[in-house]
Amino acid sequence: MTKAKHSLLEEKQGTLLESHEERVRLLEYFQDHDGSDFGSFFTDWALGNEPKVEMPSKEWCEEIFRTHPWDDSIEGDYKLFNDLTRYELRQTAMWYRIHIKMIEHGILKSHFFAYDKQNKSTGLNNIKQALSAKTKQEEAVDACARNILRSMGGIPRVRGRRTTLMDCPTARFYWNYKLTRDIEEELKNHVFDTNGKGRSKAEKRRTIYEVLQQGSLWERLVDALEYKITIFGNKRILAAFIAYIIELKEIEIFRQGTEAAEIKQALNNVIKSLGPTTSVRHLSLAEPDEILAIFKKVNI
Amino acid sequence: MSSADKFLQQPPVIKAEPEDYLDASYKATFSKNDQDPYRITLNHDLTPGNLVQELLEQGKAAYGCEVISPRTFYRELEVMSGKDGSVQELHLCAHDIHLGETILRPIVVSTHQANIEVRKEHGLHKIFNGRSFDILRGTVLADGGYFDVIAAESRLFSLEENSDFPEGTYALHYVREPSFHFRIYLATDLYKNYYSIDENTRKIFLTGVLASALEQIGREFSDGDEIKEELLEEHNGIKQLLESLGDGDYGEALKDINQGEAAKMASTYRNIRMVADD
Repeated sequence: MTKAKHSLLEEKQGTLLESHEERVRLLEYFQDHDGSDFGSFFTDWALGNEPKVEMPSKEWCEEIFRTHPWDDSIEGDYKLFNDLTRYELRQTAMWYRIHIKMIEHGILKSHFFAYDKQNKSTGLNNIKQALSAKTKQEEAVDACARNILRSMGGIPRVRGRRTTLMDCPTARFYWNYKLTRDIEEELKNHVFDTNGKGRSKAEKRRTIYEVLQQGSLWERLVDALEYKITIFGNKRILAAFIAYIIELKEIEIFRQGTEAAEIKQALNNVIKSLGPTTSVRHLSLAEPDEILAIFKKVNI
Repeated sequence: MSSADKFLQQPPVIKAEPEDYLDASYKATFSKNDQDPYRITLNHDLTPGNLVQELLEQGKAAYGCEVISPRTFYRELEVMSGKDGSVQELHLCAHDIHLGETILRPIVVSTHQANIEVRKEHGLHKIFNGRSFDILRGTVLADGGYFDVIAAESRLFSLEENSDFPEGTYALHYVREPSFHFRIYLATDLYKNYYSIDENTRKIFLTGVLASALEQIGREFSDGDEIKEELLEEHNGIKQLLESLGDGDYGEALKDINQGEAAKMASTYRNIRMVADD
């Protein structure tokens, strides 16, 4: 029986990662190939047709690809994906197709995909170092190949469903900014700063975006959305949670060095308090500040 | 405060079977739009003569339906306006949800904050008499449970009693119009015991039913090696079922059925939903 497209992708990834020669071939391809026929490497991966994604007017530099920092083009970059559904934008195969299109249109360089979250070295340097490593070359090549496959759209067989939003930088940018827009809309009447000073819509969005971008929060949140509690999919409840995190940061509850653990604790406590509450009350009908007050009763 | 007192301060909830209330019940039924699988009509059915009905009439509560699509991180409540009666038209957004994995939860929620002094005509169990409780915006007053959208909108299978059947027998009939549908006629003894039989026995029974149904689907929706694509497009429920059986490929599923694999496929399928006929 023919497997679904994403399963075939997983099989192809598995085959590739099992062979050193195949991994070397992948690295060499991402080092040397760009342009209109880039997708030929993936011909037998059955990724599907070219996606309905607009191309930006300017190419993205490696830093934009990796972290998508806040700038004036962020709204336009988000809208490139307007014709795709939420479900499509959750799929690993879709992000492979999108990235292939972006490389073929010269928006991205293929070697960007070999970047490593743990260091600042460029993707191209990472490939070169892996291919020329004098010792432990297999390990270096394996790590670099995994980085490429992750940033192209994820490795579901290894990382599960969370892989797309955690490992693929463009997917992460899209979902981060999408949630930012939803949250800002819900919090339009909420005063962010404890000193009561107002912020413009753009300033609010930027604050939310940068809070969500923080690795420890984003990864915990994706994990919670995927595996723990569907109620965070409710815009208002998610907005109240992010307002809660922003407040905790403002009053410096989170300490440098232990912040990741404290964010995890705050999230776990909120999840625990939401369980019994949401069974008897649909909080989406409460004002965000009222939900925030419920969260504030949680001790971290 | 004792745990009994805490319990009695919780707002009572009406469900399909009377619990907090003496004889009130709430359930919802769904019907699909054959042209558009994203449009679902929801009939809220609440018995009269109780507190929730009173709050609805006063405009302090509303019928609603929660739409939950876990794979797309979507969970929103659509609340009806008080003037719209008890029939809710849901227009699910194809951009936001994944229909195959979407769950609906019909409820009645309070739309106002209030303190309720329990009266006899509220229809509550007598242990609530003389008590009061607070309701807040969003308090769930009646809970219709959780429904799989595909099962709800397609209703591929339904149960019906047939008193003419000898004890212990059943028959599977398929209906073409208005939509392709399997009706399982059960003898009275089987029908009465259907929901109390153990899970394994029910699973064995449903496996046999599904295998027969798949063979019928194979005959109806393909002609030799040729798939009747247009007919399949008209019957979204069948298409979804075949896609889930064929790992996303309905053509492969039909091919396997026609090669005599229906029983094997049915034995590994875990998601058959049985809906009692109204």
